[in-house]
Amino acid sequence: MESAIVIGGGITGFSIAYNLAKRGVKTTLLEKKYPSSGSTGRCSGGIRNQWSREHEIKLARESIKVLEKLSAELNFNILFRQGGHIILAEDEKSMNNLVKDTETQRDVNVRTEILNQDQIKRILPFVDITKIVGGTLNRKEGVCHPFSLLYGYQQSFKKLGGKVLKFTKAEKLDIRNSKVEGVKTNKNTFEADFVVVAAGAYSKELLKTIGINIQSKVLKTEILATEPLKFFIKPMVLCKPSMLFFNQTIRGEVIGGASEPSNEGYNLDSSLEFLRTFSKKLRNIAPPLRRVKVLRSWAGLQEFSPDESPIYGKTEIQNLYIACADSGKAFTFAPKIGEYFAELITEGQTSWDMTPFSLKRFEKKINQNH
Amino acid sequence: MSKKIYCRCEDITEEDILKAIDEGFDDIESLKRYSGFSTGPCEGKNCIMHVIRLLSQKKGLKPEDLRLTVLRPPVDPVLIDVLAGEE
Repeated sequence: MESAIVIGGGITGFSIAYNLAKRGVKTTLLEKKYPSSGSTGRCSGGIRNQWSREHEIKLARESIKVLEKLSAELNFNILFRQGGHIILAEDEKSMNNLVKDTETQRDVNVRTEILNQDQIKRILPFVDITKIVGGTLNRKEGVCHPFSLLYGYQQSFKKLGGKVLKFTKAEKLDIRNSKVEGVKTNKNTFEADFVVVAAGAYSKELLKTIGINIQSKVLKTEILATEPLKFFIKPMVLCKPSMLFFNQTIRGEVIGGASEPSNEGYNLDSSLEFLRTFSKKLRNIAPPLRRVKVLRSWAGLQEFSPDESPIYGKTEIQNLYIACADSGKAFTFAPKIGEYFAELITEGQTSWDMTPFSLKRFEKKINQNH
Repeated sequence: MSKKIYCRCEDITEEDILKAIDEGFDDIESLKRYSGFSTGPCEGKNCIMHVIRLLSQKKGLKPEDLRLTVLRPPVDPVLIDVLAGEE
């Protein structure tokens, strides 16, 4: 029986681990803190299909198909609600970009509607329509509860014989003759046939120790939750270019952020500036929400690759695979990417072209520049 | 059987917490995320000590061996209007 180690107890790690176990691979997942302690447990849970590039739109489309059936497969309610995502354009330039994106999306059978002010007003009566030029809506998109999705995977993974080791930090990868043989942790050394590094923004420090340099930026992103309210916001709302976003959870809390790129680094402190910036932007677009109280705020890390698309696939080291630099998209892509990784690892290739996500795409660029 | 409410904001009972611990959510942060205690308007001010007592007993530890969950600002709920300031 083949064995694998997955490093990272976030949504990507768990999706890969579950799918490997499903294919009969003896899999152990290592998490340096507790499952969901990183960016997964800090994200908004948005599942988005409205991207600009074809390979990302397709991957999101396939991920949504997986999510639609996943509660039944895992026998666990992942709390996936397809209320759609509505992107509001605050200026003409953003509107033109959104319209262009809908054309790319249509080419790969993803139907996104273009909305005028009246249509937006009907869906979001509390929005100050004078601040909006227009928008787009994709009704297949939605929100999935990050903890439920992760715990669903975890439960099924364990039932299939998978092991989850929390508070176990991968410190070194054991490489011999350009082949990975195992992982040394703060507790034990583990041997395995395959190793997957899916440790989010913490992947690159581990990969650096074996000479794989991930050119990415790590940014702190803050987010908040309000008191629970009667259900009134069906879709997730994103505004461009201000990057204000908010949605309402099944519990009634409004979760939102303002995605202003902040200082680079691994700092996870909440700030008053974020609460103020978010509140100003929210009151500007949705004036009636001024009467809502903020309960709590927290921060997570977003790791951006040079082209703001994730890195998924093989490395120059035999049997070592990586999934990192997700650029804020891992939560949407994870359900499908777990299947692809399991296929890639057990069969050596995938039925789907993963090259647009490969680490190699950046090497090529460097060579061209020389 | 009578119910012991641990988290009044989210209606979470002793039974719920015990079940979560038995399912393997046996560190304080995982327990919070799985059961939902400490995520209501009081942000854990009313429930955290009860949960710490129970979890420490189950794990054979002293309550002071367990850490509090990370506190999330603001301390008390604040209106969007107040945070946004003057228009």
